[in-house]
Amino acid sequence: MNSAKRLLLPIFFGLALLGMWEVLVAVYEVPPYILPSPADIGKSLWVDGASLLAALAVTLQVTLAALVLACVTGVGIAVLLVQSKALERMLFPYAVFLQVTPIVTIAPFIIIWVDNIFVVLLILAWMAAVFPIISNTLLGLKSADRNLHDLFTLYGANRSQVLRRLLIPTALPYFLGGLRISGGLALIGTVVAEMVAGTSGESSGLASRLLEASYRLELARALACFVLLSITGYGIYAFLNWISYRLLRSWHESALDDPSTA
Amino acid sequence: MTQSPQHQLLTLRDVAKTFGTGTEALAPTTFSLKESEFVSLVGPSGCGKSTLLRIIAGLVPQTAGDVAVNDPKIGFVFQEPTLMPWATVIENVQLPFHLTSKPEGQAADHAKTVLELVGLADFANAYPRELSGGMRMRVSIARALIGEPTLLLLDEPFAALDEFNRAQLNEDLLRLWEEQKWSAIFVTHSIREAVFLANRVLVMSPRPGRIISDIEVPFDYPRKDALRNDHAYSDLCASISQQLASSMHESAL
Repeated sequence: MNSAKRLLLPIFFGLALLGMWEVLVAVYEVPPYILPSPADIGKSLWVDGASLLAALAVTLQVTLAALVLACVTGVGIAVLLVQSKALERMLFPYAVFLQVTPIVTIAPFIIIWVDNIFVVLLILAWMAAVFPIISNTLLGLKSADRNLHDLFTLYGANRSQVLRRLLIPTALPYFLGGLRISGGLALIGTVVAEMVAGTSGESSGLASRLLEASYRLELARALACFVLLSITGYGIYAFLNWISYRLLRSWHESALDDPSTA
Repeated sequence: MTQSPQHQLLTLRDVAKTFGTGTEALAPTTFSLKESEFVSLVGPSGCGKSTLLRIIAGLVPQTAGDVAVNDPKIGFVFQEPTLMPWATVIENVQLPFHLTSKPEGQAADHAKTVLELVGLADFANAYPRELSGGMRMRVSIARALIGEPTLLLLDEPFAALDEFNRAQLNEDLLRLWEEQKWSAIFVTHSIREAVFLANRVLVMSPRPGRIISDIEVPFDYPRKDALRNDHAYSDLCASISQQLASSMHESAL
């Protein structure tokens, strides 16, 4: 299958679904406050576009900041945990708690303790995103070839040389795998946090707009928000996938094919 | 045999290894290696050949006995090529220099030289996955040679290669040895390979391993492929094979 065909296939499928939706809404005369037609949603995207994109920018800012923070802290924690078995046993269970506790249940406390709404959202999105990076990077750091490790020992390598030249390159593909999961989770975390924190006004993100529109039964606009968020999520994934491909293509098995298949 | 002590590169005295689990991996072993000597170590699986090699390299501590190495500059070649997949061939070969913090320019020059020696000068910028198994093993040998070792330890390096590659690499290894005259301990399952390469063949018993015979190999270097069809060569291989078989039979009783 050539690349044009590969791209067209899902697009045709999507268009066919939208067409069916349009027709069904028209035939059964469904009112727009129950289910707006794709054309209504498109119109809302066009009319409210500027204000929705501004809201998207707010959401994206939190998402990306949380993702960067998750990378830095996640890798840092993994490097710390790999230093000693005892340290890992002591701290890893808490990383698991971080992951399995629904952030909705922690949100009220963070909102009480922290004034700045941006920081509140950042903390919650970070909590959603950090675990896959910790756990994958840790697995990667522990996956170094035993014989290579012996070779480093033989030539008297110090800890930092082992880390820099052996453990980190070994862990890179694992880290990137975690990063791709965390990219989606950071967006989900931001959206959930926005909804729970109930931000409003000028600086509100796209998720608060979605909630607000649905309260007013402006379903076309709510769905327009939903569409933008979905596209953003896909965009983040595609971007991280591309980064991963660029970093690994010269040597790693996972990057031997072109990235558009993923 | 009388040897002046300064010509002994390596001396092992009653070196033994018992694992933490109580398994005796290596029974007390004594032997010595002269400068520029090529010794093969043969023995059944699990007899402690690899353990012995790792003790000599200082990678695992022995539980008894002494290892004395004169000026230990050790190169190690593993059973697998053990290359860094994220690094190019030349970066892999330079690793020992990078780890011992030698100047960058010097590393590049030396790396080119050793790559030429193993016939891979044109592949300096290739990644390991682009190479065949035999070529990867050559990179591994180049990496072991870059630090100009006095002692090369090889742990069944050609076991995973096909017959043709193996014969070719045997000859190439001997050529490098004749040029550079490091000492070598070559661990192998193959008696024919052991005899083809070495000045001396040490035969080990089944676990816990000990050296049951120490055999001089009388053939002159340079040794060529024709040696493999020589009667004296075949006879020597057969006699070693016999010894190995009887030691395994004994241990089975």
